[in-house]
Amino acid sequence: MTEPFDPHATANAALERVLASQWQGEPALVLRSPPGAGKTGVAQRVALQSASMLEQRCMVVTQTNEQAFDLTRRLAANSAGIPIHLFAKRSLELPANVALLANLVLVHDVAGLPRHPSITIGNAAKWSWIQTSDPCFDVQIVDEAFQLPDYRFQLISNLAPRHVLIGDPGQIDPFVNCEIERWRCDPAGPQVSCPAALIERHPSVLQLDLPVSRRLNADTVSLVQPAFYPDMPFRAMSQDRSLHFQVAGIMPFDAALDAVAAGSSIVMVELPAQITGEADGELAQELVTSITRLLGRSAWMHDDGASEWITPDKIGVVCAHVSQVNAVRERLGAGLADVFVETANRFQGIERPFMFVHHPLSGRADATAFHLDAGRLCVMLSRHRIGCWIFGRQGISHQLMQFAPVGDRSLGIDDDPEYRGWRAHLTLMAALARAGRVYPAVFGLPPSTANQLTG
Amino acid sequence: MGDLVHVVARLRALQRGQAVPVVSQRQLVIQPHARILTLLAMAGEDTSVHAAALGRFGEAPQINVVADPRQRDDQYGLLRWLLPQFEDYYATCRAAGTFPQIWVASAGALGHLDTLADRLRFTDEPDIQRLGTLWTYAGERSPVAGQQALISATAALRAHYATGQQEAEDEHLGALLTWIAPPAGRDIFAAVAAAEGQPMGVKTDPRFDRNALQPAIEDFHAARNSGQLESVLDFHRTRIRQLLEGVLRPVYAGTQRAIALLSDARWHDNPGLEALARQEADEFERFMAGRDEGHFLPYRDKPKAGAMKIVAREHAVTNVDAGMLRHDRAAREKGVVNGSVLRAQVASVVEERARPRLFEYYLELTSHQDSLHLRAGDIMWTLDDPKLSLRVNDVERRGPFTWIMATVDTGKNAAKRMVNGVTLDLGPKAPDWGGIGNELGQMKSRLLIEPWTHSETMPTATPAIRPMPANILAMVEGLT
Repeated sequence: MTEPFDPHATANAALERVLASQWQGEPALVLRSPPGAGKTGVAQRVALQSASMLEQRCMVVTQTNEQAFDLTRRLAANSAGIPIHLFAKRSLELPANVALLANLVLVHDVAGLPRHPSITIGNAAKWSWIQTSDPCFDVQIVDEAFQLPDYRFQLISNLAPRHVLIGDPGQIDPFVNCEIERWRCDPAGPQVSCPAALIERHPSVLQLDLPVSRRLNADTVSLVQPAFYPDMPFRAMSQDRSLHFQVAGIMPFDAALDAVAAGSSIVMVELPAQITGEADGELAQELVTSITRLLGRSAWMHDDGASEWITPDKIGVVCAHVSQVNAVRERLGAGLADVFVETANRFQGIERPFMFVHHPLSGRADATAFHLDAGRLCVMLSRHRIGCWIFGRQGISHQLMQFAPVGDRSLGIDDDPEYRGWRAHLTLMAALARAGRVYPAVFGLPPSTANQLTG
Repeated sequence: MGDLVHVVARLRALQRGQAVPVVSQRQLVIQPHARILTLLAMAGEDTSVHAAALGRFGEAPQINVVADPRQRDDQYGLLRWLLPQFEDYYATCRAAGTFPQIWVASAGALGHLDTLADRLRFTDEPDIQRLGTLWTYAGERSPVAGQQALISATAALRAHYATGQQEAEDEHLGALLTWIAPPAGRDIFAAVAAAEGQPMGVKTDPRFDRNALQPAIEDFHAARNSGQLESVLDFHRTRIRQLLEGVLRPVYAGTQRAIALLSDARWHDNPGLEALARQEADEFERFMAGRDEGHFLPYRDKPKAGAMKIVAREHAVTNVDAGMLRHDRAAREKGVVNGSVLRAQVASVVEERARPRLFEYYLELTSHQDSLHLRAGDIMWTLDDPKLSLRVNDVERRGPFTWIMATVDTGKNAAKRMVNGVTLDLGPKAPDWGGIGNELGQMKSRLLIEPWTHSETMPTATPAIRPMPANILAMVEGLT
């Protein structure tokens, strides 16, 4: 008889393996994590163990200043009172809740780096401008490592002899803003994410996976895992999340709201087919109206034992383009100012109980690699803890069939990101259609048939 | 959305039956001494050169054809004919402090030259290697934004004109030229179809190969193998040459025609190109100095070289974009359409005294644009005088207008004098070509010691001296 799945025990066992690898002195560990599995929490624990128990000088690499601030806040709360060093340029403005931390030590140059067991946090760009060629640390932890291209990692990797690369392989690949044909056939090329390149050069590097998502619920995992992580099984930790309404629904969008209340954590809301290009004011307005409707029905949520009213700060909107973000922000008004609206790139590492998604292919006449990107869609569909509504124009599946990937493969590279993204989009649309999770945004709009949705 | 401009231009071209200009300023530097190089490869022998035509703008080509490029001596003979011409050309450019420019017909021809350059560098003959090295300059530069060393005629024309056909179809130089100057009184599609009958790439037509070229080559080999007189062999060589010249000359002439069209006075000067020309000359000198010092040009980059090259390319993209937004009117207007340029009117200028003799200036701007790529915290620079930089504090849509609230970072004196209603174009910071050198210098010193992560040897594990506590999880949790 198989043992019942115990998510807490499974997550703890995985974390223990990660911590133990540091006692074993592994030169490098690549830790792959599904969305919401507590990557940053793992980085925090590895850093604390390193400084306080292994007596090492530990450097932590983040991708942005915001991530560095977040980690600084978390690490500064350590019970041992270990000082946390923040390696940053002098002109950087610190948020008040970072600047006022009692055990924060600001470091601006190599001379100020600690020479004793310690934790120092900085973003990758700042680390790459450090004025030394000597290793200044014993271990280097890279958070969100799958967003760091290998050429940027190379510039900082000799700062420590040992490495812990933590990240989500399903998210958006590193952004490289130039022609990369020269390295396309190199699986360890400078444009590749640093964990992938490291494994390609040194296949014997220790690789571990986190097996449990703390953020995503079981319903979302059942959609996201097969579409985006087919080779990386994981389960949901929580079985205890729900949405409830005090006011019954009568408006067109209410059916989509009620579907989430009934347990469908991801649903699609369709607007009439139209080629709108990048900016779609009508869709942006529909998103805002729907958010207003969610709040207007006196909604409350149950999240891991706690019940709360739903307020704007519990809602996020994610779009593919900055112009779409602006279109939504412009329509939110003062009452909804706390709704967090951002692009998928900037939403990485952020979560909200409820998410509204502007489908990347909505209103387009084409389907480019950017809009088909599996990582982008994966980020969009994995930010919510309870419910996610995807908004898009009708005809997305038809669009996908019209713009099937051309199969532009590179010699020696097994992966075809465009095909992978196209496949993930189709898998998602088919899953939503099969489960009857597609709702019209307006009265009288004939819903897309299952055949239309599955292409 | 920037593509929308191009889509509209294509529709217009389709409607008119003729290509339409999409810019008014020249988009590339045309070197008066540029060399036009047309190569033909043999079918199935991608890195061969069966025939070559070389010449300057406005001049007839010098042509060299080998009977069969699979014969190594013959092939090397043709390449040895090309070597001194490029050696001299490069030396002249270097002495003049400028850069060489090679024009080819299409992206396919460009790729052929790039591949050939790599291949020739790894042959056994030093002089053939040298030709590969010289061509490598053009090949390595070709993917870099703003490069002026290796120009594909189709790409250059497409930067100036939009046709009414698919973009991929524009890669046929003959078809593209037909769209630009269609024959009078003839249906454009019939004219383009006729133009497409003439091969314009690196390869010859398979039917031509089967029916004409292959029999001619077979006859040549038969004559040679049967010990025929040199005069008979010459007859066969001449026959092959005449066949290939019929393919080669139209490609060469098409490339000449492209340069002529783009040299026309209708294209206004583009000040943005001056920086690109300087940059190209610097890159050329650096490349040649590297060869003088004996630095090896590898086939595949090691991680360090790859990192340096990709950083240089990223900088080039940023600089070219920033330069074009400043100096190229079409690029500017496309930026306005796609939201990367903010075109806004000054609604108010507020002066606030921060402390004695220190003032802060806040601008309120309004724009009709609804596709702006702006966020709080972004820094934008005026694209024209006066020079100002603004830090965006807030972006808000009110009715049909986007309102932008910003603090003046640099140019406070100019802000002080600014009057309401003036229109500003704002975008990225001015190009900083010197910045590439600074970053590459830092990378060089950072990478003095090769990290094991990017070498071939992985160190062994070095376990901690102390044993791991049994309750490690609880102990670490206790620290959080």
